[in-house]
Amino acid sequence: MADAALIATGYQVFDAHRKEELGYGIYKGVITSLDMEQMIKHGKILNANGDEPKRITFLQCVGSRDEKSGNHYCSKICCVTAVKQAIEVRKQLPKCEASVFYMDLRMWGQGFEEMYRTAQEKYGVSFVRGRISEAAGTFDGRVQLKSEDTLMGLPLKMTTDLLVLMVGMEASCGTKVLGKSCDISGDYGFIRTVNPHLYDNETGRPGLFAAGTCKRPMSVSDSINDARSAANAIKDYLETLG
Amino acid sequence: MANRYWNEYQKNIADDHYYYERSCIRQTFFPGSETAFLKMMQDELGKDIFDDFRLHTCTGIGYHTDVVPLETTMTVVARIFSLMKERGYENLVPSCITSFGVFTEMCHMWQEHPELLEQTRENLYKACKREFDMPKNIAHPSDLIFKYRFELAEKMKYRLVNRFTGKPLNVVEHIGCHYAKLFPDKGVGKAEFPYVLAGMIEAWGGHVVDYPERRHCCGFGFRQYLVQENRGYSVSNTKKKLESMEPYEPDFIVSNCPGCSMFLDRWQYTIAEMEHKTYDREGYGIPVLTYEEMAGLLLGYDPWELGLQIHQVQSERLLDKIGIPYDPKQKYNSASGKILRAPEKPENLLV
Repeated sequence: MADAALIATGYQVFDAHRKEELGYGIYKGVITSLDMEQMIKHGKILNANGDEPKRITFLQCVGSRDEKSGNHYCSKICCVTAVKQAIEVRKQLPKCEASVFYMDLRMWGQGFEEMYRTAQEKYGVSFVRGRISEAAGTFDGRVQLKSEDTLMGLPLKMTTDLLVLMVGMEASCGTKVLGKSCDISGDYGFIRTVNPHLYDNETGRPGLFAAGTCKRPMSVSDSINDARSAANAIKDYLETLG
Repeated sequence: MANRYWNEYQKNIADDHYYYERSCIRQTFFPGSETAFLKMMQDELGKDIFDDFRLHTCTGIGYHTDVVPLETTMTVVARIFSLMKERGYENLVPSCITSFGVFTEMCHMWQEHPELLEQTRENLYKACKREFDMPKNIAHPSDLIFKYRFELAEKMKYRLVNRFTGKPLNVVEHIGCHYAKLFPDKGVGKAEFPYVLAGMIEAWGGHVVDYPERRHCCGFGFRQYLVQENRGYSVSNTKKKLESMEPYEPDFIVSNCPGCSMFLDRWQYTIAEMEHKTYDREGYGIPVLTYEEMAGLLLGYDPWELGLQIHQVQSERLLDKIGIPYDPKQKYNSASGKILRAPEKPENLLV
């Protein structure tokens, strides 16, 4: 029997199939940020026909800040990830256009605002403020997008080789099950802590602690810091037991 | 179709005892469709569906063009509901997609704003001493045919298959905006991947064409067409759809909206006259059918009794592909057998 336990059951990415209008699982040219990360890692960015793409479009906030999918919260990491992936695309495929559709860009963290500027100035990534309303497959295996450029106030239609959906973070199945069984389930199925500002590792259950993305979306560095904080909280708790 | 999530949503469609509301414009545009639908429901499926001769407009076109005020529309709709109540029915089946949208919208407003419901009750009583109840179920006829598509398939003589190649026919389906775009939960498959027509096509052997402008409006848009100066918007939207579907070489288009069926058909003539452009290889255009015409043809109903000769793009080549017999001599005969004059042939669209 342990005196203390730490819940670190993490998150799962939003299932992009739930946004049917964006065509994931229907059109091969629609992929997620996870798929793109794998392509970048292996240095093989290919379109649905197996060719080198000429245009790649990233769409922010898929399953985050989205009333329709029921996730009103921001997933925090997607903006930075999209900018990073767009830069990587331009590095690996200099002839390929990269554009990012966004509501607003939340470049949290040191150096990320500068990275956003670099993406535009050095790598020529274009940023369009607008949501994509519809994606449809074309006869040649590409993806037709409809949107509105809300800065220009004009409707926009374009065709892209790959549409990359920046999928948000959701509570993992394990997080939801544990949260319910321990009666510490919070908003959206994430683990509820005593106080998100002062006692963010304590669950209110004696000896039961939580750390990382089981509580809410976090970046890697946030998760590491939170894990350290949880370790300290558990140490303090064990000392009180004597 | 590769989509999955629409399966989790099933619209509630009543099983039997329907009150049918005929359309103002469909009887002119597609003279055989409503009769064919009633025949399918009564004779093929053995359902109780009441066709009330006393019915009247729902005001839909006037409402959507801002010439009929909301209070009037509500009162007229309430009168239709009162007629239904008088006949002892609770499940409304409006033939026209705009009527379906109007009825759904009025009921929604009454549910959200009970004071409007009370005002409408008062207006109707003052106007004609009538009382009404909201329908328990509102379903479009295409919903009913979708619901019973497999039962109908068992009675069908033909399938949506090209008898010369053995391959499924390529069918473009087009949903009226007022079917699922006003209230997505009132349409089978909701708004993004509406399945009401796609389900019929798949059940009857055809292949659904998924083309880029599939969800785009047909271009009718009420004011776009009714205001003469705006008709350019109407034809340009239809053109956008036709250009988008052209590479897929559709064998025909099927729609569940009177405006869509009308304009996807008639604008093909206009575009051919304006630009010498047709959207099939041979210059005949792409036939446009109503879902009742599609079902009726497969059930073996006579093409001319279904009213296919009234369409702009003629359907003989499609009938040949499916293997449906027809008598060319009967094409322009009246119901009583009188020989009517054949219409003039267009210059650029072959018939």
